[in-house]
Amino acid sequence: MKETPLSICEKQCVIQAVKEGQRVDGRSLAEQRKTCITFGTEWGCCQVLLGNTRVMAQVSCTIQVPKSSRANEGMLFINVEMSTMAAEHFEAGRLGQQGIEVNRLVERCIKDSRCIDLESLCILVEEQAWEIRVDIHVLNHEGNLIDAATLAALGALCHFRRPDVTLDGREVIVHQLDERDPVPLTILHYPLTLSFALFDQGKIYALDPTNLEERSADGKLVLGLNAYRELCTLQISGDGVFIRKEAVLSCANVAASRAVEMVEMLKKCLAADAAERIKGKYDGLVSSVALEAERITTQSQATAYFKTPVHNLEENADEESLSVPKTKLVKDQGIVTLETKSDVSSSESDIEMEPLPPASVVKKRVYEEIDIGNDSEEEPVMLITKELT
Amino acid sequence: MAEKSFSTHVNQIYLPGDSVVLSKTDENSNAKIVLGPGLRKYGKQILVTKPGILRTKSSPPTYWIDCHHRRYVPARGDDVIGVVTNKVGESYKVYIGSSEEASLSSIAFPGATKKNKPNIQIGDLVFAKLLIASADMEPELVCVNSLGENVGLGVLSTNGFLFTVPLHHIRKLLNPECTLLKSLGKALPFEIAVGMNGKIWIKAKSVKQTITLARAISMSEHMNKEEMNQLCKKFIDRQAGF
Amino acid sequence: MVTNFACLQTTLHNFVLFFTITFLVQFKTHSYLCFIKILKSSVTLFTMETEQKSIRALKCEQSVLSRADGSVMFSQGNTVVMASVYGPLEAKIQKELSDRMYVEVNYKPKTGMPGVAERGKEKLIKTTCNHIILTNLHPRTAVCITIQEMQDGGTLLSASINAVCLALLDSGLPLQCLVAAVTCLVDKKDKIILDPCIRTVKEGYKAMFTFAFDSQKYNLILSHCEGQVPYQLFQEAMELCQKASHIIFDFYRQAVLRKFSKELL
Repeated sequence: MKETPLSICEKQCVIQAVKEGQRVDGRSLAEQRKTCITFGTEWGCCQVLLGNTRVMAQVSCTIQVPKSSRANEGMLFINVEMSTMAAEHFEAGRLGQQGIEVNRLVERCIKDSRCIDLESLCILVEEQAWEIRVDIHVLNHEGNLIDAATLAALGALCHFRRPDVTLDGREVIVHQLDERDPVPLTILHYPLTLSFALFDQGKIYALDPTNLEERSADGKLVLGLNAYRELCTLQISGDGVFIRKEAVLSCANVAASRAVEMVEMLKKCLAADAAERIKGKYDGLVSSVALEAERITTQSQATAYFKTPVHNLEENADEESLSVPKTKLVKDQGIVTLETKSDVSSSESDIEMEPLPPASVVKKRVYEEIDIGNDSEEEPVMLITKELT
Repeated sequence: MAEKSFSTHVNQIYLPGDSVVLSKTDENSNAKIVLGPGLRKYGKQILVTKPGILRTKSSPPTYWIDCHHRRYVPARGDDVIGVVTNKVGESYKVYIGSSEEASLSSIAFPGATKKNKPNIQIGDLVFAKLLIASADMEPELVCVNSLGENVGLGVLSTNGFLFTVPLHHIRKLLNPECTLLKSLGKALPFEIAVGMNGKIWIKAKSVKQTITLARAISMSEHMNKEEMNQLCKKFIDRQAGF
Repeated sequence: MVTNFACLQTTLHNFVLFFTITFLVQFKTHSYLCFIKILKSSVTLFTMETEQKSIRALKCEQSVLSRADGSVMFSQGNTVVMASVYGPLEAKIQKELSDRMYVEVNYKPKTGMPGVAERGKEKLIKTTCNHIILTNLHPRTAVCITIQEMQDGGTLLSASINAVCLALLDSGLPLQCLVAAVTCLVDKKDKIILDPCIRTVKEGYKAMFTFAFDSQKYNLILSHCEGQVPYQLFQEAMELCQKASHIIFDFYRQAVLRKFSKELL
């Protein structure tokens, strides 16, 4: 099947809206969609919802002979799977251009940033080492697959436990999961990607683009960052897109503060999952199956359906902070310094920044009203574009 | 399997494979009974093929199943919105969301002749009527009525916004009893074209207003009448606050 | 008597014929109608993981995926499966059938590439779907069904079939009837365990059966067996599964009712 054709009308509307500092789904330019992370009963299973984009990752391990060039290291293999489930133009078993791009970027972000300590996966030098395999399944494609895939892969790697091994002379004994407590992977840092769609020759950029925005945009800027604000990956794609140096720095600033928040959120979700497991009677993904009755019976829930994803998961506690990312962003922007040179842009943003609305006001807006249009409260986020144009 | 009769079980949920029995009055009368979508005759039985609610209307007695769909299956006489994807000879290929692309002749426009053809680019939106829609044939679109007159069909302006909603939502919006579009129009004037294939084209004064309206319409999918009224009220209040 | 059914090689048609003859004689309709009544009152109570004569808790969310025409996330006990349906779509020229719809089924395992076992499951699900979809209403088109394994709780095949049925219901494709699949196993003490959980499966078994039934007359549509047991046990297992399928049909009805709850007057 071919991809649904894009009409001139949709494209123009998206571009025009972005130029005016708003987006067709009602977000502001630097606002991410609501992110949900859930884990399965098996170790190393993580499902990520980024708005309506849905990705699941599963980590598995086998004992293999290490590569002769890296005899004292285990291996990490990343595999992205796209099937017709995600979109009608995807074909099972064949990745296509988009799939290869996602696969490569996830590899660059996670494997090439060396966030997994591969040396700890070696059992016997030159003989036996663990091969960690990450299977990433794209379940629904509503844009920004790269960010969702890296988050899912990272979540799954953090959640994964491998069977413990002991050495008896040169004989390797693998202990079953119920025999001995399994061992988590050694994770050195938590890298994530954040994508921006570039419009108007790189003058305007929108964080976490939807499928429609991705297709209407001139190009895309993908930044891989970890919680220490260190850059791991950077890619600009698109046909002949020019982007100014300041714009890249400014994007990196926004992305860095979001990466810190997202890693925090991931850790919270992992902790919540661990707590659930200890309680016993753990049913994993079953709890993320929501019944329709919860979704469509009352208007407030219909509102929630459009403003936030359906699943109200264990991480209810941090929902409040997540549903108002833009305020956080403004607050953080003052203190973000990725590089000393970027001081210019961040100090500029300080000037244009409006005071935060009181927390109670923000909360009220999110929960009680159907937030249809963009209001003046969202002005502060437009500053990113203002400073450039 | 409990067999249910039409008269007592109209507005009830049916699942594929359930059988329905005609009411005594319908069974005894000689009048023709029309079975609409989701029902089929199998021997002497009437079987349900789609999950949904049994609906009825009188004169002639018609029964059908009100079902949820997302994929459009062309039906003759439907007004649809399509994206022009290609030009083949004298006709255009139009994507309308169905399994096969529809064809639209370049002379099927009001006032068009062999020499005077409409100016259509690839990627344009057209609002057209389905002239031929059969399971075995390529669907064909026209933008005129049988007399070649203008009936409000044709190319849509590129200034609006196009979005897709499930087909049952379209049916709900076009129901004469649904006041959503009218009450939204009271708050904000807008132009709208609603295609039976789930596509809605909307245009208001500014992009901001267009987006707001589009979101309000797609948001009302899971709402009943009361909730829609509430939504409109909130929407109007909000517009007044501008 | 020992039977060993290899379903892959046998056509669906033969099965339906064979089993309708064998079992409709032995079943009396009214006896299991009473059974539904008892079950109806306690559908939500089937939460015990190791309960022997009942099905584990069923849960589903329809239209989970925004792009698919019909989609469902379905859980049966700890087993979680996602299924999506796209269609009617344009068929590829080599797959196009002039008189009916082509049904494509993809089963996606959680780890690694789909192998022989997955192809086997695809085949089983495909024959079942071909039986329940009214394929002749949409000639020259294709329907694409994808099943994603999400959490293995012991009964993936039956959960997949049930999920596909729910996804087809969600998509609104014309169906002849519904299908419900139930798995049971015969443990080492010759005890039949209905809808076993993963722990029971891993403990080992003599035989495992998966049966699928239609919603009209509860006839057998599919039977998949592995292991070796006396024919008596096989029959007993099938009777048990047939009774248990009523719970699933009842669940389908509730799911559809929930979906349409806003439109019922």
